[in-house]
Amino acid sequence: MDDDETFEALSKVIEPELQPARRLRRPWVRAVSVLPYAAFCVTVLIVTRGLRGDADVVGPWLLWGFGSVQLIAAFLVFRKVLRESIPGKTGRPQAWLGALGVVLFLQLAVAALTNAQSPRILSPERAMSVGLTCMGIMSIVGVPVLLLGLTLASKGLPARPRIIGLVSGLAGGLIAEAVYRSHCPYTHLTHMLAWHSGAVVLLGSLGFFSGAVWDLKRTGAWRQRRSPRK
Amino acid sequence: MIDPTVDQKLRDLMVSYQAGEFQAFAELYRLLAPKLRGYLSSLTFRPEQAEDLLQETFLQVHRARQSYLPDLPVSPWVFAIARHCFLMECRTFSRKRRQEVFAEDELDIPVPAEVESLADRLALRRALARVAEDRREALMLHHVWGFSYQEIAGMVGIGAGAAKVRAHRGMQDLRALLTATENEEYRDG
Repeated sequence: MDDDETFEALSKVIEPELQPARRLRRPWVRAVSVLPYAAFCVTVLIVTRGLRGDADVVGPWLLWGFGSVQLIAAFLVFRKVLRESIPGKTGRPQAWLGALGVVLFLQLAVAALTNAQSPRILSPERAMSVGLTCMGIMSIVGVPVLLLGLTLASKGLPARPRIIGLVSGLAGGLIAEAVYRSHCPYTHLTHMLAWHSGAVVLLGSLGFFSGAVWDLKRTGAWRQRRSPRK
Repeated sequence: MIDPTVDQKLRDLMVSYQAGEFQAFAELYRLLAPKLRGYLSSLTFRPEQAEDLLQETFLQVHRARQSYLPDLPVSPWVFAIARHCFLMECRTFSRKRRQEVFAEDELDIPVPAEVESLADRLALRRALARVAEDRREALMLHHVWGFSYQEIAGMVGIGAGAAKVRAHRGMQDLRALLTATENEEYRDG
């Protein structure tokens, strides 16, 4: 196939379907959508389940200040996901590992600070039920963020859908943590690692597998499209 | 270094293409296809497959045209899409396809200007084919198509420092291979 033939073949496909394309907004503008979602979740959580019992002891800075820091970190991670979906803006692996580290470090560091201010230990008989509730609610809060990340990233052409899924899930987990700490007063390390970090890891894994499915579907579609020509 | 005038022209064309102008697509094709063909040839070492992937690249450019942001240069965006198409092809049809013997005289792979005087084009292409894939890619992107290390990093998904190291080592390997070939020819008389 020479140059003219290739162009002719492309023209036949492109010219009939060429419409003005609505340009994507910048990654940070699109990522802002997670902030009102987080505010909505906090409001619903406080209205339906109430503010954490030790809010007065913890104080506004530790409760809302650090929650905001977590939210900003989640926003930055989410922005990175959307940036990754633009061709030519692929991030390096170290940056992704850094994002993973920031998510887990922030979660545990904020919990440790809060625990120092207001230590609360769960009785062994309640640990499982409270833990499951925490994990369940955090997952419910985090899944829409994961889905939003995958949907917004699919508007571009990401090279690594698994990473997109994984990091969207982690961002969802961090947002869920920022939201849920306004209700859950248990910040003991065992509870945090088992259930709160567990929820973040669960969301990250869910994202990774969603990305893998997306990748498989994409590869399948590619194979189908390219096979007749081979 | 990519010519700023050409870069601005490409940006304007891309914006017109996003607005739905077919003429802008035709012009983009005219300006970018030769470079992309060379890039894809340097990845596949098979002219037929490179031509196929060129077509696929422009189809993907068309489908992902909304993801181009006007404040970004066009070339890294398009080259990243070409690379994506190549990787999809590799994953879908196994890498063995690329190992097939290629007709060297059919291949039109540009070579870095820095080594052009060291051997004839065929010897250069042969030596280039023997440079490790990741190093060759960084070498070609920087020395042939003029991308900055930062741009290469964004295309390949590595750090700018790693891109620089790869390009540098690729050039070292290429020079070593050319010198070795020259010595062999000298010995053989």
